[in-house]
Amino acid sequence: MEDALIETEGIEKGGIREDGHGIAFLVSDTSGYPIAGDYEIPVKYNADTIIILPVNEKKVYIYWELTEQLLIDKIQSSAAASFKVRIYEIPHARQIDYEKDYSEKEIYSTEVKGQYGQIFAECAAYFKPMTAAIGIKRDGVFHELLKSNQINVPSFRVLGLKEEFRSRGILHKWEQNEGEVIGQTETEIEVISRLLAMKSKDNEITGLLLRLIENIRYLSDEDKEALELIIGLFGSKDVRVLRLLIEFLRSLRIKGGGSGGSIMKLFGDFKEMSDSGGTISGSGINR
Amino acid sequence: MIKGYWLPVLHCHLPFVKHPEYDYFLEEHWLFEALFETYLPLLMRLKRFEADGVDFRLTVSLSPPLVEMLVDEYLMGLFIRYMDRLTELSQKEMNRVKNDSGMLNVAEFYNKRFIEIRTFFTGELNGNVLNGYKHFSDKGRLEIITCGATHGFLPLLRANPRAVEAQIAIATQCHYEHFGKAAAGIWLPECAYYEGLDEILKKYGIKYFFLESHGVNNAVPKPKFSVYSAVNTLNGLAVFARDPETSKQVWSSMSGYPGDPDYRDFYRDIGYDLEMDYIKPYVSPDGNRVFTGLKYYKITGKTENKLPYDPVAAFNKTKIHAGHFCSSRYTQAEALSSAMDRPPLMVSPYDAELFGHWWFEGPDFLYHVLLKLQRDKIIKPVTPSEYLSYHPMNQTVAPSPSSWGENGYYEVWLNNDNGWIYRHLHFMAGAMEKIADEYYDMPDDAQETNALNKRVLNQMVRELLLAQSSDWAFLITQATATEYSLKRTKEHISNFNALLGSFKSDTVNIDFLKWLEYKNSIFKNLDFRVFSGKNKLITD
Repeated sequence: MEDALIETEGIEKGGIREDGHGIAFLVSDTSGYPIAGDYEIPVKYNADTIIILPVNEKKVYIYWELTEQLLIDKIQSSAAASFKVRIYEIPHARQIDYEKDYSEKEIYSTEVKGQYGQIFAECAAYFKPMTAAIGIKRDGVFHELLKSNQINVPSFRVLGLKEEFRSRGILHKWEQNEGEVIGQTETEIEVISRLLAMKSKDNEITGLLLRLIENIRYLSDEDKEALELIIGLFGSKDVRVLRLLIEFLRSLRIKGGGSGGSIMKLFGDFKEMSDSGGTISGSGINR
Repeated sequence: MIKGYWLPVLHCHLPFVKHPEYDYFLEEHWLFEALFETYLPLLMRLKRFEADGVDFRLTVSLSPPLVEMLVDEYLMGLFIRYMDRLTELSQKEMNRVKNDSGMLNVAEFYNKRFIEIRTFFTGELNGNVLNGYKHFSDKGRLEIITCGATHGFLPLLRANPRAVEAQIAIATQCHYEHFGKAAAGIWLPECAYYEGLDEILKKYGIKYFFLESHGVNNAVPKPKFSVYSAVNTLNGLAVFARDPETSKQVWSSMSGYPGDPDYRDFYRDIGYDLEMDYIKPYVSPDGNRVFTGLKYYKITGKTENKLPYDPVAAFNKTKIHAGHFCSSRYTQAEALSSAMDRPPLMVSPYDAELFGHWWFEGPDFLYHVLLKLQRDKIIKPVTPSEYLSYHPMNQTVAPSPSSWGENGYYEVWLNNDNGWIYRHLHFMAGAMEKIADEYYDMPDDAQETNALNKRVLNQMVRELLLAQSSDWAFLITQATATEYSLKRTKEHISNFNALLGSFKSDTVNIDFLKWLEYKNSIFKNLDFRVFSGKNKLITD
């Protein structure tokens, strides 16, 4: 087919947009809305609020509302009209290691007027985890009044996922085979898929699970059985059991984890210890 | 030997617009025009495939607001009136242009077409468009996927995670109610994604979704096969991303197929061209001119002296363009396959309303593309589920936050003009969650107070969901239908707060509630408990 055949004149007037939206094809400039009058909506809600939302890779949006009661409670004055809004980047490391003190890094600060307002802030942090706070500065010290929600979650890179990792989606049963994939055995892929499928919101556990995956190269049937048990334990809502599971996974890591049968043995030890009220070696975590 | 796959997706969505308080309401015509020019003509082409014994594969996302409007008795009654009025106009037109053979040819074409579409709708589909989609879905040729409950822009609703979950929970429930099966996939409203959304989707049984190209290309780690293979998220959901090349060939305003001189000119419509005395019964009763769908001219070229439209020549041009599109895919697949361990996948998502309404000949183009691919057997058209059955093993990545809006992120839906909306949406979601928790264990009996409380709480959820529709923020940014979009947003915020206030003070106005239930009637079977943290469906 000759390309010349598809030369077009282009569409005049409004044209169409590559980032189109179905409604844009239907809306007419002459559209009118015959309902007279306007709807009344609240100006504010008398609720202490600060919310941060991402706009794009360089900008965030923050809105806030501070009640008089909050100002009285926190700064003993309801007359304040000027505040500071700060934005902090949350270090990735803090997401996976609670034990060390990774402090938040201030990446933006501005003065704002009013107990109720909104700002757009330029923060070139490409969807890094962030949080915002509003407060007041007195004698050179920032007194925080409210802390916002956190936006963005850490990039998966920090959790150690390698490019070679493949997994099956949840659409398919595990029995399905697609033949050998270079760099990974079928068993490994199955394990990876299962572990990823049960990924917890708890990044500490996720980090450990992924390190475990990296250590596991060859699994025996017994190992697979152990993994089933881990999955069962993982489904428990019992925080104590989950803590023990973390310790168990850590002990796997310490022992280099992964050669045939080792997981089953370690898991047996783990169960025994948790049943008998003892502690996992070196963990200091008691039942 | 198959050299690649083509995955066409048509996203069908319109916001819920229903104004029984007016005999004629301009914005209700969005639905009628889309039905008359896009949804029904597309289904008619699929029926033609069936009649000819041609196999095909197509994926359509039917958004819950659209689905709810398509089964709304009031709106479908108006749609029949709309078709009748247009058929009457086309008959008048045949008389008006009887001495102009070029125009008469077009008028006769429209009259025949309008009658065929109406017959298809009332006869074959029994007045329910969903019957057509279900028919092809049952045959395994059409994969129907869902969308957000009211097309809420999920990354900006997540300040209240329950609001995001409710959008997904209600969407999947709506899909099941109307199609009798669970939705395997979702078209994320505006293709908008944020990290962690896949976890919520998984809870509701969603197995795959679509992203804009950069949502996958900027993933971590970088996908080896770019957008030419599915990838899996951490939660095991498959992700398909747009192939930019196929999009450009159809979307581009300058070099895309729809701009061909032989195709119908969108703007030259008799609703604007003819004397008001003649056209008045067919445009807005307040005298505003509107598109009628009767357009006599072809694009012709960069001139105001347009030539008459020739439906046969245009139809033949779609064959040429389909041929070009297919041969371009063969070349593309050849070039890509050398660097891949599997045949490349080319994903082509389009707004359905592009085909037929905007690009009048779009359904014919699609028909010829699918026909040619089926005959040539070089590129295989697939549905997402079919592709994943061939290639279940995919690279695991964390997709990047993205949308298909201008500049690729969220700014179309969050800027100086529409940022004010989110404060209200977040407050409403928070208040709804709190009150849903409080009344979660309320008995579902016929006792008057309980029944009334439930109706109020259900309607509050409807008002919140309707306010969340991304269409309003989009239109405000585009500065088209701005007044309507502003008022719709404010209307639902106002309704929600009025209901909340009256509920708390035990002063519910029954007439007001009844009116809202009738007018904003989306999701008849909705239960306010969807917003509660106690809801098993949501928390498990």
